[in-house]
Amino acid sequence: MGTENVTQYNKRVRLAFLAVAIALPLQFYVVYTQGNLYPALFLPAFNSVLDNGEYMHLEIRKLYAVAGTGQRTEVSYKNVFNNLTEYHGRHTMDRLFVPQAGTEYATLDNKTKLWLYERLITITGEKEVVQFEIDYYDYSFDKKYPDTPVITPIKTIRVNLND
Amino acid sequence: MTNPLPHSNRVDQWIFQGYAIDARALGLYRVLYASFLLIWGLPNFEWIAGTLPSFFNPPTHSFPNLLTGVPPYWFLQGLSLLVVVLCILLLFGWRTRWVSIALFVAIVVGKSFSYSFGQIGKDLILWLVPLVMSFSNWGAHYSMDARNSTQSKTTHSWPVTFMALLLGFGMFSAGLPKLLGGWLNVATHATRSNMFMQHYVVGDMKLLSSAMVSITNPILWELMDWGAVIFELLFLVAIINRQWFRSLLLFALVFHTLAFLMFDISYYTHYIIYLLFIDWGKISDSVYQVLQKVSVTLLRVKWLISMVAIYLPAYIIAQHLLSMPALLDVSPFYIPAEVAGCKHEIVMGLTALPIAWAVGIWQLATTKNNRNLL
Repeated sequence: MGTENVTQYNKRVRLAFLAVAIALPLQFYVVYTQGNLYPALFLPAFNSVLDNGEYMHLEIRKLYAVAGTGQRTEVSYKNVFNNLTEYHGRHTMDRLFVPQAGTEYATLDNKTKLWLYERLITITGEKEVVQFEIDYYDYSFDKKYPDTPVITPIKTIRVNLND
Repeated sequence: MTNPLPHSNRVDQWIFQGYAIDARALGLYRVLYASFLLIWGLPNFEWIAGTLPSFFNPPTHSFPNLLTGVPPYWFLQGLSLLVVVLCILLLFGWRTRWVSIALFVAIVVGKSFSYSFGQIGKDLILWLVPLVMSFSNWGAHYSMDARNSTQSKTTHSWPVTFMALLLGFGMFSAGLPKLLGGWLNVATHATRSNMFMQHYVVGDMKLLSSAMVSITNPILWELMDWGAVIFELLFLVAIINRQWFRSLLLFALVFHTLAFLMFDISYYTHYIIYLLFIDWGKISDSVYQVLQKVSVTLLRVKWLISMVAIYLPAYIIAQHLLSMPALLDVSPFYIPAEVAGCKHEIVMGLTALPIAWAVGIWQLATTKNNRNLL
């Protein structure tokens, strides 16, 4: 490489470093404020503090399939969303199962409802599943007694599967 | 041969010589990186085709958001197989620069769809390695390209500095939200509450989380909060000095080991990135000479063609006719997702972490004056 080429090459490399040094904080700002960008070089993990100084609060979801006989069977979201990774499953669940205003019932499109029905039949082994329910609980942990949380029900979201 | 560059100032000194690396070490790193991906890390995008349209929810600012749904199965399978073939080509060092860039593009396209269902993974830095290192000419040694007399033998070290900048910023971007989010508040224990979340919400924890849940010592938990934030923020400062950066990478091993034991999260993909920054000068010339002989024997066209020609039909037959994709994953050497009921993350951690520690201890043990490293 001749001296002039080297100088030109170095200039381009410096520019690349400068561009990245500007771009990285910008994409950090977009991801931090909107969280909706890919590809983005950002490695956040466990940013929140779920602890108010006195108690730790966790929101726990429990999923149930209600059979035609009335039998209520707990199912895991990992099983229900077995074609998605763990975190995709939780995101998808929170996004899809939103109750209609003033009710505790969420509605799904027919394809998703049929998929959910078949998943629950497979998981529970029941002949018929009429409803899918998600119970939300607040688990409050006293710092001194971490093994015995105080459990408070928050809400239930239901999806009718028999219509 | 490393390109002799004039250094007009300290910034230039840092960019071009701050992370100077031997040309042979670049070639060896390429072989190790490609091997790592084939064994631990190649993504498979076929599962995306099995998702429902209602699951598709791409990030607002992403390429899949321009589309109405996920691509067809044939495209996703083709992309997955292309990634494997490109990785094998990278291992052999065939048209290394273009293969490196193509590998980055193929993986990021696939990952863009993978992250269209709610979660956005933090693994981009792993896929940036071939893109950035393609500018270093990391195919100049231990490669099929090396036998081509018209191929340039000039290598560049600035891509290693560039990777240090990206890694430093990535770690800083993990620490800053923690700092802003109140991790340093002594009245709260963020590490502990996040461990509780993993234990109770994610569940199925295999390692030490059950034992750690009952530990109530506030000083211990607060030390962990402060330690994590300071450690992650320091990365961006440490990149200005290679020795500081290496020292921090040794602490990173301790940090990741703790995270693995407490959260069942192995961070195994980070180790291959850290490997780029070790002191490659500790490898003696005789080792490089042996590697040269081995590479001349193994990195031949006939082996490359045989590998691809056996692998592709075997994978497709196994998957379509025998329905055994879990047994023969998209990479021919990939560690099985689950071993004896042990979940994927644990298997990855238990296989990668001891190797990372061995490299770290070797680096430390072979440093005559450890003050240079710590």
